[in-house]
Amino acid sequence: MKLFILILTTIIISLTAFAQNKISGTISDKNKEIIAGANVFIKNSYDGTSSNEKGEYAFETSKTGKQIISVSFIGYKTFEQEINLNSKATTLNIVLEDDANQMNTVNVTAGTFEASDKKKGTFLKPLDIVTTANTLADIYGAMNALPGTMKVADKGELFVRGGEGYETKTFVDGLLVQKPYSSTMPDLPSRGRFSPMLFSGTLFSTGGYSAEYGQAMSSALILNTQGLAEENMTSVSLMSLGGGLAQTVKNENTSLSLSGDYYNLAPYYNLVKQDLQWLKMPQGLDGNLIFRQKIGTNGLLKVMGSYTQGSSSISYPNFDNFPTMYNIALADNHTYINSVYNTQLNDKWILSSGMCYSYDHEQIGLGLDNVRTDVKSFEAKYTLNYTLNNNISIKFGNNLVYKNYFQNYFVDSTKQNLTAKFEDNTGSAFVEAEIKFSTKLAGRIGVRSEYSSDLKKMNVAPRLSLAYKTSEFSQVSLGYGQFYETPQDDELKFSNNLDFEKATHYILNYQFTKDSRIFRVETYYKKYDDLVKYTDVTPYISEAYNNSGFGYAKGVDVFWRDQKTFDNLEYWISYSYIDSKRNNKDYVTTATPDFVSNNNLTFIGKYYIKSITSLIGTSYSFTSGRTYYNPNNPNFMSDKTASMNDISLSWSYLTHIKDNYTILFVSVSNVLGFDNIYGYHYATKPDADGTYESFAIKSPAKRFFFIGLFISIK
Amino acid sequence: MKKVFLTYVLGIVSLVCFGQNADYDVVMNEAFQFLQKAHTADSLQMAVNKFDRIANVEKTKWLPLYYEAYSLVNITYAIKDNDKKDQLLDKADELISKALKIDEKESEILVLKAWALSARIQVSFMTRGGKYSQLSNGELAKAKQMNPENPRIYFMNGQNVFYTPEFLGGGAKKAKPLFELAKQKFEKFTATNSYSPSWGKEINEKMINKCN
Repeated sequence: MKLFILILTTIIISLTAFAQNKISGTISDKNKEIIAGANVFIKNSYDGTSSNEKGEYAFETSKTGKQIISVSFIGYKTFEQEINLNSKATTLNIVLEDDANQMNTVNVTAGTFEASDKKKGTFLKPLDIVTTANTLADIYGAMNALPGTMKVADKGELFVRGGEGYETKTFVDGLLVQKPYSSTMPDLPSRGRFSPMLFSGTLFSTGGYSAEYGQAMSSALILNTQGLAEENMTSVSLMSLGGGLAQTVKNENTSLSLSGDYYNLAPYYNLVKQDLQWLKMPQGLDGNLIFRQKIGTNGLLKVMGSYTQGSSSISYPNFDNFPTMYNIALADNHTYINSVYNTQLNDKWILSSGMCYSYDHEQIGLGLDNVRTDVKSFEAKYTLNYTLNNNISIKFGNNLVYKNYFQNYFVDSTKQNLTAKFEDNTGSAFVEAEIKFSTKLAGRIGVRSEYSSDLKKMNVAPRLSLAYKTSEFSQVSLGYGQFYETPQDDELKFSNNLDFEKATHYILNYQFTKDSRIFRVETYYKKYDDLVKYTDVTPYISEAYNNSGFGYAKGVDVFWRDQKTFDNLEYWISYSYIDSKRNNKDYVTTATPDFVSNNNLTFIGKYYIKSITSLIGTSYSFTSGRTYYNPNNPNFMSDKTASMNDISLSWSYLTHIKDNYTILFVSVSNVLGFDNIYGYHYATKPDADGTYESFAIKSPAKRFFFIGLFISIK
Repeated sequence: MKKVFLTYVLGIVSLVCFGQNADYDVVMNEAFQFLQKAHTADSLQMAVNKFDRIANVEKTKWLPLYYEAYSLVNITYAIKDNDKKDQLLDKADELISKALKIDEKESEILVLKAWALSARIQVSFMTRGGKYSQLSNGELAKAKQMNPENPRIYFMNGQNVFYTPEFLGGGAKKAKPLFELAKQKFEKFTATNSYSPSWGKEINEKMINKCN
């Protein structure tokens, strides 16, 4: 008996001893680099281990027979393989595959600058816009510090790569903003309507943008508003040009913000002498409402409404009777409502839908004449995003934009009322696929089509971009696309003889991103066709307008940003070279337009001094000379201004007033007082000796001072 | 004789059969002891893997997921790469969500969630400070409703306040009473078993000294 038990015990113990199977090997990736710290284990058991600093692993398991070995490590796809554990030691060397959803995989960047809190590799955070010197918290001012833009200080709009201001369109939550800039006096820069703090994401495209957007020949500025507000808060702002108040209330699923601002430049203009004869200094007010509501687990409804009103008047040179002056009076009000609903329908489908309405009423008094312009617009849009799998997703959608334009010009001398109006419905459809061919190659291909009822024409615009990852930190990207745009309101109101204007983009870029440093160089060629031309300066005659204009723009943009080399200092340098000519509008020959400057250089620096909790900002910008039309010169547009320089400083001081977070912001533009001349206006008639008199276009004051105090009360 | 034989056979059989699945208590204790000594990124990664293996088997237990996420958050304080920090915290978020699905009322998981949110601020104080400290404090408030005696709630609250700059209403002076309150709660606290969450007492003492 004892012998029997002994034998039985030995057999059983040897069985359990043999049931310890040993598995070992190495873990590496596709580039033969070893992976340390990977988790190697037998599925459905505790048995396993971590790979060591040499990528080696070894462990014992009491499991036998057919088992599944599993290996996981962040950044790689989990590896699983069936193995047979039969009491022999097993050696298994495993290669892990990159996880295609990882943040450092390739994505299409040709012609794109993205500013977002979330995505890696974005160029700007929304807060960057507010803290950049010389932008005065104006989004367009901040975009002007990026490559691809030409500084046109007397207009204030965004001029991108040889394109006029109207060739850049702004989209908020996917919907087109009909009038993103405020109305302004001649030669004075306008400002964007929206505060940069409204937005969590900004995508500035200098060309080649997605088929989801259209109606912009040069560039799209795509802004996405914030989601649900994070906290109840009262904000007070006191500035050298006015003040404002905002209140945000929120609960679990809802947030509501109401704000109002009043501005009046009289106190400032009385203090700092302006080279302009103001009769009524600019003043105005605006009110905003932002409502957010979570619907279900995945849905969010956003409603934004704003009302702006302003007025001013100046005494301005009358070029028909130079140098006498006449009065220009400006009064405008603008209502904008947009409502967006986004939701994740299920695992594969995401729906974005929205509607927006805007009404702009502008009254301009020109001497005794009076021009009244009313523009109403309505847009409805939806986009569906379908994720086929990890590598392919498809986006498609439709939108409809209705626009009603009415203008009445009252001519005092003849007591005539000249009206011009048009109505347009533009419907569009687009489809676009984003494909990850591999972790190194990604592409986006799409097509967009639009039909305009006023033009009675249709367009079809293909778009294509590709990106290839040349190394862990660098990639090359190329883009091609056709971009159509309905002619401007001022041309459509007179003519129903027109077709879409068109630009074709070819873009190639190289980008290197490592350790908070970015280097990017991009080259492009843009061909303009079907630009509006008018042979006479006789408006109201439809046949005087046609689409025989054309042009081109080509150049190189370079960008370098460094947030790492120096402690507490970040800086960026952006340089653009452009060569562009056009023959459109009333041009008599092909010439470089007056908003193009061949060389633009911007340097932005921000330095944080902890001991005084201050962020010091500085900017230097160089703009080479711009052409201007000189009637004294027989060669059309052959004169050029001198180059323009600007050095600006800003100081943001972070503090608290009775426990409430406070920022004191002080900025001075053109600190050194460079006498920049942006161009010239000329009298329409020559004087006694046959010369046309000139009038230099300059800023009304060399320097602009700004002080603001912003308090958040919780 | 038969009885002895049967008992013996049963003993061996149980050794053979159940010896294959080591006790949950045993593996948790082993992993927990390992975690106490893990202070480098590499050793913490090994702790992550240990708890991950346990979590893969024990689908009804929140604790392995909790410690796996806890180790991940710890790693973010031991490395410099900001993108890696976000990557690890994304993974921690996933695990914390899974743990909450198992027991949504567990205050320890909510405190860990609060800590993972504060950890995000490491990447960029300027842009993330306000948002994430707000969210973190929100989770601590929820944890307080679940179990107001959990000392780690008050400790984490103290941490959030301590690392908020004075000009934003934070700082050492404001944090001190929170750490003192945490100290009282630590004194009254007893852990459920040898590996349930009990951390924080020593570092809380260190923080009180820092505030002096």
